[in-house]
Amino acid sequence: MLAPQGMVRQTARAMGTELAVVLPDGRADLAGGVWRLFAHWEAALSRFRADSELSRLNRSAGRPFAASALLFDVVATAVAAAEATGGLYDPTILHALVAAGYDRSFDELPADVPGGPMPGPHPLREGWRAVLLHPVHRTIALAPGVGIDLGGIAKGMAVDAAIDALAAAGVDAALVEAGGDLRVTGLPPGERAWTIAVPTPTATYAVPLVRGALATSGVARRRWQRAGRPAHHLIDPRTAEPARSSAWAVSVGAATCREAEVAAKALFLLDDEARGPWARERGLAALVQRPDGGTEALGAWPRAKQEVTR
Amino acid sequence: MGRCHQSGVKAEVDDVVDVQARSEAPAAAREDAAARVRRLKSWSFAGSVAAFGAFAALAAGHVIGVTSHGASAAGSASSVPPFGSSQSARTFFGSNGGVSFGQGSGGAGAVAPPAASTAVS
Repeated sequence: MLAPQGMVRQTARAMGTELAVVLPDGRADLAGGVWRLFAHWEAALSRFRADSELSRLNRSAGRPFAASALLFDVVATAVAAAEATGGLYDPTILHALVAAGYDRSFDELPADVPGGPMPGPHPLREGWRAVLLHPVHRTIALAPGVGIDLGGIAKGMAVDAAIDALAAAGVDAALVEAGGDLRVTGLPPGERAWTIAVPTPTATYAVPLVRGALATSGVARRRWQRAGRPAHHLIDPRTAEPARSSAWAVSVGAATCREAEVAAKALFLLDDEARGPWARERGLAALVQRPDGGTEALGAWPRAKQEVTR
Repeated sequence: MGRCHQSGVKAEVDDVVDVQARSEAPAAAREDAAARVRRLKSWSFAGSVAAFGAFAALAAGHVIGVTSHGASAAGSASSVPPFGSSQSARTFFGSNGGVSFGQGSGGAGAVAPPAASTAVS
């Protein structure tokens, strides 16, 4: 990846993934604030840290938990996303993820996770409706036995928060990326769009992004073997198992990174026929990528394919 | 005949008294059992009220599908406006601005090197 002319690209690691920020030459020092933001969010929202606020919330299932403004906002947004997707996205998949073998940070996950057979397909016990929110007292009550994972949506919201903070600091143009989920503000000097690479199984295409965010969900990464069976991190709330999809990956364009992230997961789970209407109803642009390299553009996703040469 | 009648009446009276004596004990037991059932019902009702109260206390003021916007970047304390659940569903995908793509070069010109990649996360 290369920074546009007059800009600098910096990288770091947090929230279990690679971070990148692209800033104007004269504002490169602002990257430090972005790293601190991500570190703060990770400390509060990681399910892999026993002392994180999210872990304490999960241990408090069955009784009200007094949450910080950050945790309450992310959980409330996750519940709203679950409702808006009809449960295709659901933050209460924690125990299904653990049952699938994803019980530690992906960096520490062995290629073949030992264990007995998976429990088999079954709907989540109660799902997102088991999350009760009290906005006045800022408390969260999880039904007994319910656990929350905020991995993807927290990452998307952190990208949004970083872009908002940079814009508030008067930065003319910036890009923030966390593990392939990204959002831009402004335009690079002298350019009409940000060039973003979209890797597919057979080629990498360039997409000219003028405004908004992109996120991709798929099974190319974060996959492992569980007792000899292939498993991955995209849990289908309807079966509480790693999803089976006709897609290899789905990339989504939306106004915010949180929307793109949630929509990419939901579209990955949907059938071929349902994806187009679902994306149109929500004003989303998407690219469905199939295992054989075939692609299908939905909504306003650019039809012209420009391959990136290496 | 009269004695016979008298003795027959006495026998009948004895039988009645005997029957009454035999039936008084189960009646008392039934009454006692009924009283126990009434006490159990009242305890059960009180228990149900207490259980409902406990759940209501947990759920009181909690709503499903509340959302908020504008979390501070540093996660500092901020007021969280309450929104109803149906509004949450409508607004999650309703952020202002939407996404916008450029025209690109349509394959005719050189593509600028990518600044980032939306790889599978």
